[in-house]
Amino acid sequence: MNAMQDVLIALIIIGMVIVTSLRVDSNAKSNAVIARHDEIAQSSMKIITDYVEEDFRRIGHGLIVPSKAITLADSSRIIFSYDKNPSAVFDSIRIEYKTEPANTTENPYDKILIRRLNYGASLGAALGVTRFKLTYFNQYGNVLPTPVVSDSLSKIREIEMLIIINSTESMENQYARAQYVTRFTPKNLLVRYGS
Amino acid sequence: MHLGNTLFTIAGLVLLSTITLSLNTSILQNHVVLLQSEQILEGIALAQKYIEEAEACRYDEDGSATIPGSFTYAASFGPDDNEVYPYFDDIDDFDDFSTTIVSGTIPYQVDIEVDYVNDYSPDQPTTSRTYFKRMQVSISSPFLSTLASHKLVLKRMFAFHYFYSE
Repeated sequence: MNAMQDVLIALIIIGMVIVTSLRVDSNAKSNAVIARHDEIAQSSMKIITDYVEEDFRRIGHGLIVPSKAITLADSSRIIFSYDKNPSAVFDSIRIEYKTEPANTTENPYDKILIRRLNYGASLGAALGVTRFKLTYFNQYGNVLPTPVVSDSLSKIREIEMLIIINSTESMENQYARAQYVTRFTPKNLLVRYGS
Repeated sequence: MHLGNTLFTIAGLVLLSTITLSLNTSILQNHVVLLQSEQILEGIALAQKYIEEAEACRYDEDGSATIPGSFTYAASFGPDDNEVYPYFDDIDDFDDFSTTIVSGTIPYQVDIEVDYVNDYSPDQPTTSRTYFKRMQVSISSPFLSTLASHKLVLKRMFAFHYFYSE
């Protein structure tokens, strides 16, 4: 009888140990996945902001009339130009940033941030952008209502960008999140040559 | 159950608990590192925002000043009586500006200093009036604990410039 009791107690203890081990293992794995999603979201943010910063800072660069560099300015879409290499042949390029739904990812809210060069193919990857918001300011620091009307496009001096990135996949219904809010003052929009 | 078996069982459970706790600590630390790198990103973006705002401003309060002798004295830096953020019109209006920005639940204390500097010594403030101003934006938060003094500092040197006719 005693032996039977010992076996039962041992089985219960082994059961508890196995359940605990499995839970620890499962927690460790899900946390590793969450951490990886977080890391991917931050890396994606770095990739996107590097591209956007490089382009936005060069708005109007090398153009004869830089104040006419922006031809469309909406809350999540912008079209502008700059000369890619002002020291060589004039080769003004047109760049468009906009968002399109990302239908292939698990996250229902993410979009693809598209960078389109000179009416060419739209380039963009599903990096989990859930918000891409642009706000435009004039030289007095006042917000210009979007879409900025064509008469006011030349008044844009600063652009504030808000990007929120969520992971494209969830873990236990949680999406990793990274946010970046900053402002750009394209130097060439501050200069007024010619008309 | 013999005493020896009981002791073995207890030792095993203690070992399991220790492993579980150390694993949890490592997971927690991993999360903290990730959150802090996210906060550093946010802090850099915030500091950059103020620097970019200053970029759009005149070099000096006096729009017609073109030589250092006619620029504002360093002791008079700061906003004029009628100037309030975000309607600053020259770079030195940002001097001694400070505010707290709360992003989600994380507070960021912003402190800005503007000084004259020389091109040959861009990180050494001078009381003389020069063609160069250095803006130093400090972002501090108790959550930036991986950084010294819980603070990150971005600096930008602005050279004398003249943008457009006003």
